[in-house]
Amino acid sequence: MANAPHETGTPAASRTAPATSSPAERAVVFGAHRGLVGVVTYPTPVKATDASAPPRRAVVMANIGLSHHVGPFRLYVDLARAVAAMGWYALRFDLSGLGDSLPRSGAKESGEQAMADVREALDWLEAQLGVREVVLVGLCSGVDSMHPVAVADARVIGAVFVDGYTYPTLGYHLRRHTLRYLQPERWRRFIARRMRRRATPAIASMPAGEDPQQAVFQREYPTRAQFRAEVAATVARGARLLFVFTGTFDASFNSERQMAEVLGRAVPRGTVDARVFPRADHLFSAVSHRAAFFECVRKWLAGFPPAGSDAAPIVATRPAAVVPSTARGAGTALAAAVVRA
Amino acid sequence: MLPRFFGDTGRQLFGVYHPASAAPGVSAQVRRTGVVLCYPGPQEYRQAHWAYRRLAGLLADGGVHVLRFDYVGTGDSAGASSDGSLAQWADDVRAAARELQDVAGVRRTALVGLRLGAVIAARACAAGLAVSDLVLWDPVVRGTEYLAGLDAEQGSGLEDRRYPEDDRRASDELLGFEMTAAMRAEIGAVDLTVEACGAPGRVLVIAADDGPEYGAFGAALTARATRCEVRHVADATLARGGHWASDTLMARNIPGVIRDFIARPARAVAAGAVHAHA
Repeated sequence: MANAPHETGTPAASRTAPATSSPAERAVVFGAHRGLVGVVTYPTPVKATDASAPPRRAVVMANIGLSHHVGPFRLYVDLARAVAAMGWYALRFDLSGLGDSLPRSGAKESGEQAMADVREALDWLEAQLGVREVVLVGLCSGVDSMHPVAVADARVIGAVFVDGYTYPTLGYHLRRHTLRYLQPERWRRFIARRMRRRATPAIASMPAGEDPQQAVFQREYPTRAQFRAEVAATVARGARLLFVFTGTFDASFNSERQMAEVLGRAVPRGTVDARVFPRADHLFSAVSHRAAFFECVRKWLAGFPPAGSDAAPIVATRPAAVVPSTARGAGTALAAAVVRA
Repeated sequence: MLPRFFGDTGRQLFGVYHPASAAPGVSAQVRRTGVVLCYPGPQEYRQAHWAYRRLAGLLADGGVHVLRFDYVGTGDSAGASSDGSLAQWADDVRAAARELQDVAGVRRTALVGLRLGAVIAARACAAGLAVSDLVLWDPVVRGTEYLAGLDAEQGSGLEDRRYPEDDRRASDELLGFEMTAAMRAEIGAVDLTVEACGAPGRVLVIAADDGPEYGAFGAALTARATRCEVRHVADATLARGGHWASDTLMARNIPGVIRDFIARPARAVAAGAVHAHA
């Protein structure tokens, strides 16, 4: 193990929850260069000192670009505390050189470096907390470092990828270029938007180069064949995947059916799940949208069988319909969609 | 750089301590001084994080002990986003100052507050925190103007949204964060030109431009015979755009201005506002 882990703050044994009120959190520094900085949230309903305490499982989140490990709008803080209330550990941390973490010396390519950072986070969790099962959470470019680790590391039992990789399909094109024009609601919104912009010319559209809907096509994706093969390999070892897309990405992902269309027969139905939050923007900037996202993740995590059991995982059926019109409604719909396989 | 939680049980604050480096030629006064960096409000926190990390590192390289920390309900600190209040956050500044004194063994405390953080730092002073230097960077002078700016930003953001007609934020939400009626009222009542800032040894106002609010604030400090200085810093547009971490500001201006101010003999800053241009 390359890590030389240590915790900072009030001294506490590494496997015991600190004596603070709920939720207990601790700042940690880890990694081969002792420069990765993060915060561990301890499971609140489980006493970490209880030998019979179950599952040493964790949700792991890394910073997104210049938004450090707190996450945009405290997304990762609130998610960490939400999953801790379900009995999971959570680790949010900064990749090297970003947020609060120190840069690494050496000339590793940034993608490789980020993957090494994620692996060292998993090493730290295993060495210090006995966590051997993790769920990775990646958002947008954060998916680039999480996806390869999810594919290759057997400790990863699941992953939640938000606005990650997607590919146009025949269904996508049909929905985008045909069906959308038959929806009166879209026309109403289009006209309202045009009139509003005409009335306020100072509010310009985002320059093409900065348009996140364009940016999605500028990221370096794996090829579709590679993506299919990697997802197939990941689910074949029993891991579960949840693909979440926001309305910001509707130019590239426009139906919950699309992921199944992308994956085709390479991945058995029911082994991956896709959710769309059509009203939410890329960073879930509305409080209600974040709440719906947390609820979605909570319900999805609840589908994991108890640690150490041989029970089949609870997986989601393929969604029967597009998510309702509000993100709050989407959360409710998820509850209905998650069933025991 | 040492991240840590500190403060009362159940209300723990997250901070990152940057110990002073053993830089040569650092005066005893600087070595005895610890700087607490006070973040802006939640709506401007994200843009300030990288700036504060860089600022803290540069100050530490110059021989100054620095602690940057998150208020209750912000960043990594305990509490929900709706838990904050200016009074609470001023208490948090006092806790952070105590923490830095304990950890670094410093005797003098300087506060640096950016935007709303300047108000919070001033309130901590007014509440009795003994501070040698109070540095107010782009301070929010009047809360009503600050809120109006945030409201306008939210309004223009929503106008450009795909679903503006049904994506209106709840009345207690502002730029993605809860903004309770109590918090709005508390911020709306801020007016640094009339409220007490306690008795800091001296005050440095770093102004991104020569806006009239800074002149009024400087005049108010002058009237109170506070040892103060107002500095207009170049590259105002960069600062106004929220890019507080810009290379220009970091390399040329802000860290140097703060370090020089802390290093000056106590009486080198006259009572009354002195306008200087960096």
